[in-house]
Amino acid sequence: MKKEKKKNQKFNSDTSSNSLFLDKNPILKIIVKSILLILILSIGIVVSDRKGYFDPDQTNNHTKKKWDTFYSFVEKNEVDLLLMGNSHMYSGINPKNLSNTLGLNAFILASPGTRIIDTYFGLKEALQISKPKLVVIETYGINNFNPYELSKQNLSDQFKSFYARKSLKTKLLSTVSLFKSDNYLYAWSNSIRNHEFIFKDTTQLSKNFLLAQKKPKKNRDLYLGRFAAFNKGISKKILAKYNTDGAPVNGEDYDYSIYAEKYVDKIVALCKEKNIELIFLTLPMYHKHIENYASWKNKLGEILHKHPNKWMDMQSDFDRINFTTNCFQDTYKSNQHMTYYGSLIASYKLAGFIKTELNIELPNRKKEVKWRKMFFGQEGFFENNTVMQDDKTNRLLWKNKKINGLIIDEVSVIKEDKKKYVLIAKIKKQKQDDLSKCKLSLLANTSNQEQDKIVRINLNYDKLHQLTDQYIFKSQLKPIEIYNLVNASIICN
Amino acid sequence: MIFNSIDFAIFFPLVFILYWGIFNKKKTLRNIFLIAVSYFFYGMWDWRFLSLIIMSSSTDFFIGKKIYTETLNSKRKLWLIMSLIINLGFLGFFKYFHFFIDSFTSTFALFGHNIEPHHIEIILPVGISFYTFQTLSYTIDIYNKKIAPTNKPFAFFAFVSFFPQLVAGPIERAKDLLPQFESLSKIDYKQLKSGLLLMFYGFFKKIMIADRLAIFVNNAYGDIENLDTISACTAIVFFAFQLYLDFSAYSDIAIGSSRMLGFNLSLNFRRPYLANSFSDFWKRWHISLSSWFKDYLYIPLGGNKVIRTRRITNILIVFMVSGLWHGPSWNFVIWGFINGLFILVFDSLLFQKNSTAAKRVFNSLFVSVSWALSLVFFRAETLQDAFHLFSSVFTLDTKSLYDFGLNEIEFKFTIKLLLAFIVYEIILENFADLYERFSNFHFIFRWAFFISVLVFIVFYGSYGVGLNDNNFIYFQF
Repeated sequence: MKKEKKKNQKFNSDTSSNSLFLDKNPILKIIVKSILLILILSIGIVVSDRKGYFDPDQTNNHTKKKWDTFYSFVEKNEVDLLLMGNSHMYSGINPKNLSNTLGLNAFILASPGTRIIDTYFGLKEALQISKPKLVVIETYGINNFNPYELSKQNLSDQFKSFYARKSLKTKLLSTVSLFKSDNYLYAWSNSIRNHEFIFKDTTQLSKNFLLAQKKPKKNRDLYLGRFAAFNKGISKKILAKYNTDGAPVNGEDYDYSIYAEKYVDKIVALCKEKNIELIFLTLPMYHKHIENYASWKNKLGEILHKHPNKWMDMQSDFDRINFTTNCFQDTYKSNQHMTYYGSLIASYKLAGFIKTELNIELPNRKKEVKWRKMFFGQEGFFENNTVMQDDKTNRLLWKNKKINGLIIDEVSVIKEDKKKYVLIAKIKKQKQDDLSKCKLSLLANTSNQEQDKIVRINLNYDKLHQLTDQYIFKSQLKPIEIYNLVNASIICN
Repeated sequence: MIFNSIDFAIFFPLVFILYWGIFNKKKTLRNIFLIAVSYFFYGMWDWRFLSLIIMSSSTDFFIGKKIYTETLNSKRKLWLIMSLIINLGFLGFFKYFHFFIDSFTSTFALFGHNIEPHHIEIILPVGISFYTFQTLSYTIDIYNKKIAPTNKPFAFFAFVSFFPQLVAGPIERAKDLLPQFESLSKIDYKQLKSGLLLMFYGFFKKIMIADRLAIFVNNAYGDIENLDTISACTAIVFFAFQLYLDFSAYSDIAIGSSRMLGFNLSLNFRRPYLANSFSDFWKRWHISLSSWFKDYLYIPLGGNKVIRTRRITNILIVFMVSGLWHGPSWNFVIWGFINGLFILVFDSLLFQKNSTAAKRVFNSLFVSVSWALSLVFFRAETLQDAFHLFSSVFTLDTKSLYDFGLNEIEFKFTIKLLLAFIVYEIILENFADLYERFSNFHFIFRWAFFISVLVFIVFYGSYGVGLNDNNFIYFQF
C-alpha cells in the first residue's frame, strides 16, 4: 500500500510539474496540443486507409496486388529480370512465359497510365529490395507529360500507382517530384482523396465496408505482375475503319517533355550505379493503327540514343506475319494494347532479343528444384522445359531422336486435366528449314478401350510459342495410352 | 499562397515556431523576419508584383515623413496628392485601365465615333486594393494630424505587407496596427488558443459550407439561361451565404493567425444577416472597408453635416465608389448604387429603434433578402446575365435542384449545414460569452468536440482533386 501511495505521489508530482512546465510555455503547450489533435486525426485516417473504406475498386486492384506480391516474392526468391512500364507492358508481355523461356524469374511491376517519372520512382523502390540482372523499360511512358497535371482527377492512375507502392521513404521522397503540393494528401490517403464517396458513391463505400469485414483470401497461384485485360483481337469493323478513316495514331504528333528526358536519364544513371543492364522496349500497336511511326521513332530516339542502352522496337520492325489482328486489342482509340495472343508472341521476341543481342550472363535456373517447383505447369513451362524422367503426371516419349532428317529434341504427353492431354513435340531448328507452315505426323503404338493399335497423330505448328532454337508442334489428345512412338515425318503443303 | 492549401499548412506552423522560437527577441529582427515571410507568402503567386508592394511601402514611408515635417499647408497637401497619385495610379492602372478604356470607347461609339483601342495584357496583382487602402490611410492620417509617422522602416514595411491580412484584409489603420510592430509581441495561452480556434472556425466555414455552396452557385451562374424559379432563387440565396461565409472565413483565419503571432486585427464581420437595418448591416459587413470609406470619403465629402440632397448624393457616391473598388465593372457600380438606395429609401421609412422581436426578425429578413438580390449584380459576369437571372425567377419550369453539381444527398446536407449555421449565429448574437462558456466544459468534452469536427471536415468537407472553386472570392479584388 505504501509503495502504491509513493508511486501515486510520484506520478502526481510528475504530471503537475509537466503541466506547470507547459503552463509556463504557452507556445509549447499549443504546439503539443495541436500535434496531439493532428495525431489522433491521422490515426483515424490511417485506419480508414488500411481498411480500404475509400478505395476506388478493392475487387480489382491489380496495381496494389503487383506491389504486394513483389514484396512477398523477393522475400523468398530473386528477381532476375524486372520489367517496368504501364498497361502496355503488363498486357503485352507474359512474365511466366518469359521466365520459362529464359529459365529465370521475371516480374512485371507496371501500373496503368503511368509515365516514365512513376516508373523511375517505382524502379528506385524495387531496386531497394531486389537486385535484378536486367531491367526492361517500356517506352510508352516517355511522352509529353507534366507530373503536376493529373489525368482523370481523383481517380487518376498517378495516384493509384503511387498509392500501391509500399516503401514510406521512397514515397515520401518522390511526393514532391510527382505531385503539386495541393495533391500531397490525396496521394497519401485514399480516404482523403475519395472522401466524396460519402455523397457520390455510396455503393462503392458500402461494398468496401463489407469487404473490410471479410478476411482476405490467401492466393497461392504464382503471380508475376501480368494483368490480362484484352482477349479479343481486332474485328472486321475496326479493320474496315482503318481502311476508310486511316490510322488513329499519327507518329508526327508524338512529343516528349523535359520531365520525360530527365527521368529517362535518371533511370539510366540509376541502373548504371547499381550495375544493372537496362534495355528499352517498344511494344507494338497494329501496323495499320499508327502512321508515320518513323517520326515517332526519330523523336524518341533523341532521348534514347543518348545512352548506350539497347532499344528493342517491335513497332519499327513490325512482324506482319506473326503479329496478326489477333494480337491486338479491338479498338480504334489511340491507346491500343496487345491481347494474350500478342503477349506470347512479344514475350518470345523479347526473350530472343535478350538471348542474342545482350552480352550479359543471366542465371539459368531450369535445373534448380525450387525454380522448377515454382514454374511447373505454369504457362510456357512444358514448351520451354524438358519433362523429367521421374515425372509421374507427364510422360517423356522421345528425347534427342534423329529421324527422317528431323532432329527431334523431345516428344512428351502433358496432362492438362483428367480428360485433356496435349502431345508436344520440339524439333530443332535447322538453317535450311522453315517448318512454320508444316504439320508433324507421328506414328504411335496406342491403347484405347483395351484395343492396341498403331495410330497416326498430326501435330500442328504452335504459332504462339516461337522459340529461337526449336519448332513446337502440338496436338490435343483424347485419353489414350501411348506406349511408344514408331515414326515421325513432316508434311508441308 | 492561399490559406486553404497544403503550402499554408506547412508555411504557417514553420513561421509560428521560428517566430516565437528565434525572431521575437528583437523588434528589428522580428520585423525583418515578418517582411521576409510575408514577401514569400505573396511571392508564391507572382514574385514580380512584390515590387509594387515595396514601391508603395517606400513611397508612403517617405511621404509620411515629408507631410509631417513640412510646415506649409500647401506643401503638405502637395505631398499627400503625390501619395494619392502614386498609390491610386498603381491601382488604377492594374485594376481599372481596361474598364476606363472600354467605357470611353463605348461612350464615343454612342456618338458614332468608333475607336479601336490597343489592348495590353494586364494581370491584376492579388490584394492590390487592400494594401493600397491600408497605406493610403497612413499618409491621410498623418496629413490630418491623427498620427505621427514612424521612424522605423522595418516596422512600416511589415505593417504594409503583414501576410495574414495582406491580400484580403481586414484593412487596418496605422494607428491600430503599426504600434504593434513597434513593440515586441507578448503572448498568453488564451490568446494563442483563441487564435487557433478562430482559424479552425474559418476553415470549417470555408471548407464545409462556402465551397459546397460555390459548386451550386457556379453551376447556376454558368447556366443562367436554363434556370427556373426555384433554382434561380436558390442560387441567389446560396450566393449570399457563400459570400459571407467565404469572406468571413478568410477574415477569421487572418485574425486568428495574426493573434497567434501576437497581433490584434480589427473585426471584419459581426453577423450581418441579423442586422436590424441597412445602416446596421454596413456596421456588420466588411467593417474595415465600410469604416475606411466612411472616414476617408464620406466624412471628407461632408458626412451628415450637409443639406439633405448633398447627403443623398454623398451616400450614393460612396456606395458606387465602394462598388467600383470591388472590380472594374458596371455591375459593381450598380450593386453599390442599389445598396446606397436601400439605405436612403428603407432605413428612414421602415426601421425604428426599439423594435419588437418579431419586427427585428422581419427587419433582418428584409435586409438580408434585399442584399441577396443586390448581389446578383455582384456575382453575374455581365448586366445581361444579372437581368437574365432576375427573369429566370419568373420562369416556371421543373428543373431539378440536383442538376447543379450537388446531388440530392449533398444538397440536403448543405441545407442542414446552413440551417445549423444560422442557428449558431443567432445563439452567438444573444450569448456573446459562448466561447468562455465552452472553455469551461470538461476537457474530455472539448477534445471530443474538436476531434469530431476535424473528422467531420475530413470526411464531409467540400474539397478534392481538381475542385477549382476553392479560392477565396475576395482574392480577385
